[in-house]
Amino acid sequence: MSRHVPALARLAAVLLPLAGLGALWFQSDSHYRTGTEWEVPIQGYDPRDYLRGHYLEFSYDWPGIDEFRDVPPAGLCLEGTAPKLERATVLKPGAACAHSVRTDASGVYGWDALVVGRLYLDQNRAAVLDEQLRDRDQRAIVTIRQREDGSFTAISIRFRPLTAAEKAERDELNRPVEEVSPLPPPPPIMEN
Amino acid sequence: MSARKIATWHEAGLIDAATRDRLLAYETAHARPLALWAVFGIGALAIGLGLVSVIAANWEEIPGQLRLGVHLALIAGALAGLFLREQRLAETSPWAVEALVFVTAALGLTFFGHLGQVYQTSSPLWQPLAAWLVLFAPLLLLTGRSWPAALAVLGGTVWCAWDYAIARTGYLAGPPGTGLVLWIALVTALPVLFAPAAAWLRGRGERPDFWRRLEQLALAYAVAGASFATAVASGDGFGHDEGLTRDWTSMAVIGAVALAAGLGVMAVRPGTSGRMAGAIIAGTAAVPLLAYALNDLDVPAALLFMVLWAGIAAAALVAHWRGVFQLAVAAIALRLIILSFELASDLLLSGFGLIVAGVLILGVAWAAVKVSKTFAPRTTEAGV
Repeated sequence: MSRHVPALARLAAVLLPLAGLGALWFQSDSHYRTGTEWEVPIQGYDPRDYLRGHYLEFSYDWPGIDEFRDVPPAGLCLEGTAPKLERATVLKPGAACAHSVRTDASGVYGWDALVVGRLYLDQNRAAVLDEQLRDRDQRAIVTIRQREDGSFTAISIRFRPLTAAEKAERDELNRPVEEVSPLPPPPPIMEN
Repeated sequence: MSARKIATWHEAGLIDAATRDRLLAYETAHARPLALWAVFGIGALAIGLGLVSVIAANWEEIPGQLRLGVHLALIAGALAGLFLREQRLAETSPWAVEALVFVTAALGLTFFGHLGQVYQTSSPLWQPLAAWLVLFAPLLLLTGRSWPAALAVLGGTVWCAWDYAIARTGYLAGPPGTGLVLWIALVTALPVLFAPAAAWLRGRGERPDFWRRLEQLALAYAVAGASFATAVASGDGFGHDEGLTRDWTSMAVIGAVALAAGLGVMAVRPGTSGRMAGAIIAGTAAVPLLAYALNDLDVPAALLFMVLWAGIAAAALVAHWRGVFQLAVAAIALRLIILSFELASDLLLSGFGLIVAGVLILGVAWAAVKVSKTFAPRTTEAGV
């Protein structure tokens, strides 16, 4: 800022970043703190972001929604007593819903925001969680903070062992694959 | 270096002792430590990148509020230092101001990443980049003195524009609409307009080096974009339904922005250097449309690239930019080698192709030497 630049412009150029960053901090903080917490089961892995560092990217496993066919839903209605999520149903326009979550077209996942999500983590913790997510005897649960306007933020993650019923369901899902397509015997030329 | 030359001239009897002393005194007074500038610039760049990584590591053990508080206090300290001490610092060492400005801007950018970690905001990257540009571009433009600050402004703008383009089209269910394609063409072309603005301020401000760098970077963006368009044509990338390169109209939008920028540079910076810089940018305006027309035609698309760079070489000759001329010759030679591989379908043909390319490159080099000997000036003036 040379002498020819008016002192007011110099002061503005210095104060603008401070005021802007401070305001963004305040806004992010108050937005983060509002909302109801819900626990949602997930599946996931560990990529990273240029600016914000390591994050865990996961797929939501909403109870009551079998799988997302074709176009993912624009909104879900959460049922249960927070934070215990009993069931999620596809949000119908006009229908009443006490706790709704909606996609955000301007967000990083756009219309997929109810299918995938991310959680920024310490780089060491990201590596540990990546290991834990591969352990098939545990279930990962993400706590989301859901707000009145349908926006939501993933805030933390924890694990719990699978229940007996869930284990049985998982084994049931795995068995037919092994039975239907067993590995063919190796061709004779490969045997020593 | 010039001191040694001056001493040699004196020993050879070309200049007398008085002239030698006066030359030495002049050189000492007007020396520009370019190597030192480069080193400080690279140092500031390294600190900036280091800050991004340190913040990105995310230290969960330290409470988020405390981490953000320390971060904002550091930014406030750097800004206060710039506001109160800038003039005094600049008198003793301008590069120290440049390094401080760059590091402050880098701290500001990482603050967005830091907010994202603590509050789990997963907005697309262009949003924090755009907010950073709004908050820090005034500071960079008012205090920048050399290439690191210029790179931060232009690099930040280009990165933001392209990330926006990708984010807007990445999660679409179908192909993007015509309006969106045109809008994105305009957004990605806009950074070229830094060229006429910087050219205008270059002759007026106290920091001509900063504006010169900014103009050069905008020119480089225009040339890189035009070269990229010819590469897209070589790879059959135009005219497909799903892509951003579907319509010729979007190429026309890019061309119009480049033409305006080029004519602007020519208008605001009279003189050979300004006219040639403007001519290069205005010349790149025709390339996207021509590339669209020559889509998937190997030889014409390669020729378009070579015509572009031959034009740059011609402008460099007229304006006495030796380095740019050499770069243009190298670019044409490299494209010839790539073309020989594009045309070859088997080893025999690629062998012949390489031989022909080699002969052509020798021809280009010979012609370049001939041309530069005939037309180039004996003196070499540095800089575009």
